[in-house]
Amino acid sequence: MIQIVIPSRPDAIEVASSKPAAQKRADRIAAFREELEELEREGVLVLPPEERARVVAHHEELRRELASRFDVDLGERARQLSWGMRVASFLGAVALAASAFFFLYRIWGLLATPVQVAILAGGPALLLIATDFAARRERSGYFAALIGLVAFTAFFLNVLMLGKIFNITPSPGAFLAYGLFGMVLAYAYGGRLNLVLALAALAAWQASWMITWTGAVWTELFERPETFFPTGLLFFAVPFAVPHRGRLELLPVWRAVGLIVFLSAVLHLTFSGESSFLRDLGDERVEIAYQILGFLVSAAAIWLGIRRGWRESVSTGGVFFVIFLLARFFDWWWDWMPRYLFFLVVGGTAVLALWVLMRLRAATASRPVGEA
Amino acid sequence: MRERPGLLAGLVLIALVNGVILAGVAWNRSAVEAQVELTERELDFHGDLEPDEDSGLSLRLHWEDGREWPAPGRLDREKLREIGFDVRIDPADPKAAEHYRSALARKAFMVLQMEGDAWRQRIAKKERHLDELKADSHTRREEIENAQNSLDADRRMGSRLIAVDAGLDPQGLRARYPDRSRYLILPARFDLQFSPMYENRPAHLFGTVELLVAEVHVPLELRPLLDAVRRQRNRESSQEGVVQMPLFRAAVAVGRRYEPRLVSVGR
Repeated sequence: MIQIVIPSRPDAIEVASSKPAAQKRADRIAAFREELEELEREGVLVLPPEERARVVAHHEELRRELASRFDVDLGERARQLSWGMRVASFLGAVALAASAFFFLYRIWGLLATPVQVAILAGGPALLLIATDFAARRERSGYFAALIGLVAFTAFFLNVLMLGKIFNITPSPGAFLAYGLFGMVLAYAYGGRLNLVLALAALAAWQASWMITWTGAVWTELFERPETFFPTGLLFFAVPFAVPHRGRLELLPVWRAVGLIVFLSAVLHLTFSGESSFLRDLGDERVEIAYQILGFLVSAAAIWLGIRRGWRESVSTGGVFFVIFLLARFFDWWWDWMPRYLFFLVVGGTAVLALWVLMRLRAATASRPVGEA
Repeated sequence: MRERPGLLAGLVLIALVNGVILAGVAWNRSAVEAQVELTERELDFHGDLEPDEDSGLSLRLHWEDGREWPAPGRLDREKLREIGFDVRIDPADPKAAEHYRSALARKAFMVLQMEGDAWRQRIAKKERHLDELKADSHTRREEIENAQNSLDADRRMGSRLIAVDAGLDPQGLRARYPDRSRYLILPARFDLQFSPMYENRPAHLFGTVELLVAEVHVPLELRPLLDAVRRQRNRESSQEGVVQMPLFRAAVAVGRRYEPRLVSVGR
């Protein structure tokens, strides 16, 4: 006989520590129910009615708790609606941000300088307060994310327009300001896009700072892609080094942006050896070295992602691996190979990759449950 | 507010960033490094967006670049070395092209002279060229007319702001060009260019320059005259045979941080 023990109060169990954990729990409950029904139909496992009722009641209580505290999706329909809400939130944020941008450009010339400064500085402050208000009033966070992106745009305009009004010499310090503000928004109110913007700005700031060590003007930051390597590696390492109790949904963003920054710089160097600090070794040698590095790092990202369950690492590593491969194919064969043969080789490579992945998946599936 | 660390941090950051920017502006304006009177010849109307979409107005500094710089300010190899470029490889060396092709731009300061010897020499050069064309019996009439028109346009509306020198130390440059009513010293981006041997011309290095702050914002109180001038220029653009003369003069001041600003505008 199966004995099921359920504590008298659901909150005696820790329901979940974050929204992603809560969503996973809700998904497991739904999967458990479906599987239990299937097992009952197949006659493999039939719970006594009393105990079944207790499990169902416990799960219902849990689902209510999860929905109320974390606003999770309790089914496929809810999940699809959530996806629609995310798309709407993103489009709304981008459109409102663009509207704010163009509206400010339309009116700023008609205002005296003190009024311009007041609006530019006051705008992001008011929008930040509105973001905070929305975050407290509405659990899903979509409105807060939307207003947060507009607040970021307002802050961007704040710094940009003050520079124009007072004819300030452009400085990479602006990137640092954007990066810090984006981080505040992302960590205080959620919003992966805010973190992406923040990390992009911080990467630009760090690269500008490094390029000035060579005596060059900071605007040359893209001329030596290696200046982006430190931030790429640092961003990827942050989830390891910095404990995140809350905002677990931001960890994949750090990893993905870190990989994109690093591998984009490597990709540039595979075509343009003269942009490297090591160009004195010979352009071709440098390009080959970075091609090898690109393959190794993207493969490592895929491997690590599979081992750790980091989907973003697998996807980003996979995309870049394919880009590196296609770039090499193009480089080696495009000029002399007949087009049909070229695409046949590309297609054949994809089929080979598919076969390898299928074998890997089969090997994973044949291991006992609980073993990675 | 203590329960809202994100809001507090964000507001403090906004205040701090704006404070730093405005403090820098105040410091820049706390002294006048130079103040030069320019006209419409040296200040173009400029805008990023269509006027309907962008109500702001900026004037772009219109100056003549280094390719025609008269000595001693020419952006040649020696001057490029002074600015900080690595020019140790002789341009005639076979390795020169590879060495110089990926040189990175540097920041330095440029000296602009207003209506001085440099401009007079430029006009004189054009006058000599016109005289040579007229003296040559093979010259076609159109060539002479074009040269004459170009000279007339330069005399009437050409910029009298000419780049004459460059260097890393703005105070050193000011010591060399002490007249603050005639010389502007502004931060600029300098690019090194390598020109290979071509026909009889030997391989050589030269520099190109771009001002880091190329535009000056027009504050609201100085707009009325400039808006009227802009409307008039827009009407003239669709008319033929209009002989343009400068319609405004403006005082441009440069502060401690070598950032320019518009001080006054008049007829």
